[in-house]
Amino acid sequence: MSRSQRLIRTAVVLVLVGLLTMSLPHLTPGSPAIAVLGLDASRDQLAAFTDSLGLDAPPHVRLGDWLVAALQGDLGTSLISGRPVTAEIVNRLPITLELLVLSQVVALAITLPVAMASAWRPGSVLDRLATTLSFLLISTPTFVLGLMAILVFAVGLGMLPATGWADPVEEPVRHLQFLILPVLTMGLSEAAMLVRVLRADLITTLDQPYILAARSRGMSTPRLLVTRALRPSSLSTVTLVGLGFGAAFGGSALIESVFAIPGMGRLTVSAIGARDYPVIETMIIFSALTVILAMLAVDLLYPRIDPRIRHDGR
Amino acid sequence: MSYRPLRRTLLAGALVLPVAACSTQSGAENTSEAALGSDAEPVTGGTIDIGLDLELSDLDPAGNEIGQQSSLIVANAVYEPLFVDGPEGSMEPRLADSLTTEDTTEWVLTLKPDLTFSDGAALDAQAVIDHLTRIQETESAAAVPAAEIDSMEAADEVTIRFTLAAPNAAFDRYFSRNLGMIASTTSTDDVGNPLGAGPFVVTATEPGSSLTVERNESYAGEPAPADTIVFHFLPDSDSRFQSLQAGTMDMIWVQTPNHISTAEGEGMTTSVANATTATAIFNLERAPFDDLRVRQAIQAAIDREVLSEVVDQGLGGVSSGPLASNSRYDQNVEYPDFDPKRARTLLEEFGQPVALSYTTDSSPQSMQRATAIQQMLGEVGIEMEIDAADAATWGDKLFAQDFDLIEFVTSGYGDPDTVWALFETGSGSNFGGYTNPEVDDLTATATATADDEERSALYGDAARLIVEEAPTLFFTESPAGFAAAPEIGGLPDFSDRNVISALPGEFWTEQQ
Repeated sequence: MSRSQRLIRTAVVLVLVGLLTMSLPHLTPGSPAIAVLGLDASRDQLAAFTDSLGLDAPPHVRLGDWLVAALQGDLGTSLISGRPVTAEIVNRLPITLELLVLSQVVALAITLPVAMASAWRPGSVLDRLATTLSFLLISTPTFVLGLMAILVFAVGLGMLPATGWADPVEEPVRHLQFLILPVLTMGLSEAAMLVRVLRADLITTLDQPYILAARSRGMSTPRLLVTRALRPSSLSTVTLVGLGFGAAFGGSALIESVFAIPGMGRLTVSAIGARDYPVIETMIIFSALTVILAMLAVDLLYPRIDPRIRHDGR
Repeated sequence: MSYRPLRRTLLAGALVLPVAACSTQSGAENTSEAALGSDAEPVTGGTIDIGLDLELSDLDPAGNEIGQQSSLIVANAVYEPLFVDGPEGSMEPRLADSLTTEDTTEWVLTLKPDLTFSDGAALDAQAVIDHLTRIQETESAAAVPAAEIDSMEAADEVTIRFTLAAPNAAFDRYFSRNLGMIASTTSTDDVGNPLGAGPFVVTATEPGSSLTVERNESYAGEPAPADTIVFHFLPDSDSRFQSLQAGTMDMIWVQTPNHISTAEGEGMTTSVANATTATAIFNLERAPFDDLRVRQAIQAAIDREVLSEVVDQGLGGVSSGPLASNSRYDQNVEYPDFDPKRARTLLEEFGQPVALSYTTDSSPQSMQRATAIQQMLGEVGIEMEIDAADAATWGDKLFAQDFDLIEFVTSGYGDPDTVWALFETGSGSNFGGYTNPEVDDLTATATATADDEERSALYGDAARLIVEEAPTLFFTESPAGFAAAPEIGGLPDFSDRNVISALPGEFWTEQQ
């Protein structure tokens, strides 16, 4: 697909997402009025507040308004906190980003050796152990893992704090302490899934004739795995990592709630509960943008990983 | 903060019997004899970490964020209220000296002398008037009680005369809440909150994460023992509890019965009261709930004791009507016993099959309650469907009167003087459309009655009517409050008040 075609496709997806987002107030029951004014408010007060939000306008009008404002740097104001959404994103994005990046790093650090060892000797003790653990971790919801981690390391062993967050610049040591459990939890969860995928792909690759050829020339196992087998097997894994990044705001919300981390995910969840539409709308569009960018990046990586893939010459 | 392994310690200050219902009123004035927690000598200094369930960004008493139970502990740190709840429903003066009336329409408030905000500006009669005027001009929930004031004038530097638009015998109760949390109208702190006259000042906030207060050196009363208190926003109740167990937090807000009993078992101090009343409101404008027999049948088919066991693990108690178990008013209102036979008889009299949808907000305890009720109603032949909505949808349905029977869990019954709005004809809070002129009469008369005993009798009669006509079903009173590590001292004892409004100026920690 040519570059311009890709761009058009991206724009269309974004517009569709935008229209759907702006239709949310029509589609979902519940208005932010009660969350903002409380149960003691009169029906008139609630009605007046809801009317003042302009949620009745048609979705394309609201999307247009949002775009115009966004291009001027105004992403709306939270109905609950009264703070500009831009400020919230600036505060919270680095936190969530740090969590995501580090947990993907941890995930890959676990996945690569485990998957390679498993694939090299399928059915071995190590492989069966890894498989069992993977399935256990995949079937355990992330927040349960988080609570268990807190139980073991914070409550039981007293080694780490249970919840909270510290600024990395002002309190680097405490920041690291707060980071360990959530990153481990998310990383393990992600790794469990990636191991399954990478292992399967590796096993297929290791059947290829060029692998046998390299072995017969005397190449050592580790070198073989890393230089010959890994790259052609990594397409699905790279896709999943990319998807993981893009879709991670949903997943990070659970971890951020359990560990009380003031990130984007937690903001989105509480905004949804309170029907804080300015925040919800910006977060959804932002999330869509992130997924699209992540997928674009993955698309661009494919031919680098496996030169047999060409997007244009189809 | 320290991270320490679990410790089992024998506690001197043990479990507080949760007798009080919660109220819109505030905290306790404790002497150190009545305080719970560590019984060593109070120590000056140190930092206390308190974990709350909600996120606060704006502490302004004229705003919308200060109102919920767990927000009051933060507000009380910065804006000490004019009064706090004392034993048996009395109002104990904090920044005020007295608030008196002869006819429930004209009131005279006297402040303590020489009070100042944390920047040194005088907290005098004019400052109070300015504060109340500002609230009246906002559109927040606090403006509603403020609107009852027709006029106010400063008779001298410490005295204010109020004239109310209508008689209200319980006008003084407003001053343990937003109206009484006097905020400066001239200065704000670095973070944007108006200055207060409480024992602490706000020094830092991490949006979405925490709020830090430090001792206010110009506080008029006894200086707070602790140097610093950090309020952390920990929305997940399980990890919040784990934070307490791990030592990451020194004190937390607890509302889960399991956590309260576990905390006690592990040697923590618990300071709880019956904070919320679980009820359900009928839609009286929808058949067959306009029929008294149907409502009474459903009332008789529900076993409140079982609900208390199932949902609250037996902590708290059953609710017997609009007058909460710790209210200072009439305690002789009898709630009909659990009687499935009577329920079936009433349904036979009614003659037609009854089915209903029960709207709830999907929180875990609500779902437990709904499932138990569904079973109980099934046993007398009533088919109940659980309509599980999320909190915002539940609120919508409540205000739109789009329900058969809707769950309503509130702390409002702790304030026996303002809760009647739920039952008054035409009131905005009368979600079910109940109307009974006799109840309206009784409560209107009571509002203008200065004598406590007379008012108690009137409220009692109103309560009896409401229980008999069952426009609202009353289920249980549930505990909530604070759980703290054993090194924390100065915790309030809520057992004789309607309080979950603690005064952080009295907390201290053994850890330095």
